[in-house]
Amino acid sequence: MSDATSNTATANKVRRVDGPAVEVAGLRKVFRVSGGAGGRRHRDFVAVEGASFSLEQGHSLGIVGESGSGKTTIARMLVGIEKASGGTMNVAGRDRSAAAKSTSERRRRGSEMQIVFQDPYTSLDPRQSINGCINEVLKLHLTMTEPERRQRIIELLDQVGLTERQGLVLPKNLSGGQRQRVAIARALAAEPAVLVLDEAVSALDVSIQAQIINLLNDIRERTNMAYIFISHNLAVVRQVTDQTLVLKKGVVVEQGDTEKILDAPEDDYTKLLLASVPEPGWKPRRVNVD
Amino acid sequence: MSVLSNLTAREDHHLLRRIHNRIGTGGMVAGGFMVFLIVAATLAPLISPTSPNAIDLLNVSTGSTWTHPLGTDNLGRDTLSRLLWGARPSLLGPTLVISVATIIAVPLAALAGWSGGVVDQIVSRFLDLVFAFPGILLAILAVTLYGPGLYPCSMALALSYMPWIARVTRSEILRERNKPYIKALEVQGLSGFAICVRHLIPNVSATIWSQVTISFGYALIDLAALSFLGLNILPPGADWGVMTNNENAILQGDLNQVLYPCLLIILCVTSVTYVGKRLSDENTRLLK
Repeated sequence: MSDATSNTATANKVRRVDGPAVEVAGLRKVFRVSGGAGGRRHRDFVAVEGASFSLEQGHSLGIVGESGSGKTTIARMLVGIEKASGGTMNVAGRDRSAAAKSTSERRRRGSEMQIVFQDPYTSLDPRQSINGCINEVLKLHLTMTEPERRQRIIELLDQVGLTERQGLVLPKNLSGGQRQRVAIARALAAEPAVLVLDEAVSALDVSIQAQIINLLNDIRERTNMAYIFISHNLAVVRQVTDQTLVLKKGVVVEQGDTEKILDAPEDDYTKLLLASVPEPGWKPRRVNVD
Repeated sequence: MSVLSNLTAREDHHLLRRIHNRIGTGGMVAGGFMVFLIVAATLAPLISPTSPNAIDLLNVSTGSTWTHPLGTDNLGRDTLSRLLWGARPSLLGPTLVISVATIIAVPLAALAGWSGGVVDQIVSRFLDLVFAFPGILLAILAVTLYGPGLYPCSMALALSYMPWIARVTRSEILRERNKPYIKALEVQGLSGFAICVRHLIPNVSATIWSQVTISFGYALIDLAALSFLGLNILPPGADWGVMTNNENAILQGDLNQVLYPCLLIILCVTSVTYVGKRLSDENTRLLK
């Protein structure tokens, strides 16, 4: 695995930016849900409340928390799938607090930040070959000739440990782990400054998980790309990230160096999260988060 | 790698066998029948024994003979020739209906499903409005305005079939739109138009195809009914619908002349629907 990736002659390119890769201040998301108290038709559900963090180029930030704590909502707001209700977001030195107005603006944002989703089975177009999928991204973001693109596709596939022949097939002919590699290659094809990994290894079995984690660490070392790594798996977060942010019901309860947070947590919620990891002699008990 | 070699092994360059793999023996028979009909309709001027309108009052309502394999009608016109010539408007009509309906329906469905919100509301209410008019009634209106004929009837039916195709396609697009691969393309910054044309619509094509083939069958029946009523193809023109309206058959019980066009209508509708169903099933299965 590491052989396949370290053999790559051309290092992956990444957009250079001055200052922090990601800067988020007071980020807030309120969903309007039906069925409010006192006979009202709607009530507001606060998914994220005042999250602030900054991430330097080449570093990796983990976002942890239980299901429904707002991890994915932050990721979706950052890449623009979800509209933020408040706060500011700055990626690669450019503001993206408001929704993109034009297609060219969306494309520019796409070249700054990319995302890899959790489910590898639905994140690729079932009708598009792997080569076609990556080719489309290259065409969109970069000015390259046809042979250059073909060369780059082979490079990208090689980088994520896939062969040239696997590029010819449809997603259904690949396993979940292989599909997730394709999703990563597709994200890397845009040469973003920041890569968001939204539970990107959670759906994979443990050995494949380890391969993908090695791959991600490898890519970050060589390219200085910044990661936002969302996971509920604390062991994985320790391996991939150097800073961590702990979310509880949309509120950041603790943030700082990953080592410090995972080894010596200060907040009760973080302690609870850590205590919830099964290990030898672990006795599960009903716990109340509040 | 075994997956790859399987894939290569399965790739078959024999066209007929490839079609057989997709639609099965039943589909081959049904599809073959449709191809046969289309070829026969196209070659009608060359292969029909006599002119479809040649009246021969000495040979009225004969049964099958050597000169008239399927007999003659109440004016002595050769039934086989009339069926062959009649296949042209009978197949062209439904083709027109579904083509026009699909060309309007799919972009509307994509617009509504992709944009959502107010645009979706407006398009959906517009579709509801068009739904309110029965096809035959719209056709009668069109005939009152433009006179009887294949085009007014087909266009009116196309309009009334459009919302059926559009509504189903829209709901399928809504479902597909929220899948991560579409979200990933949005994050890449691909334009909404490109996502719809290159990814969204092709991925709901199985649904569109099944709607189109079902509509083809219904349109064929509706157009035949309109011909029967004297609103579509007018006698002496030949059309399967016109041929079912045979005074002799109705008044004197000479059912032969009505049987053939009816049989063709039934076989045609069944074949198209069956092939369409098999194709859309296969389409879904192949990508899973």
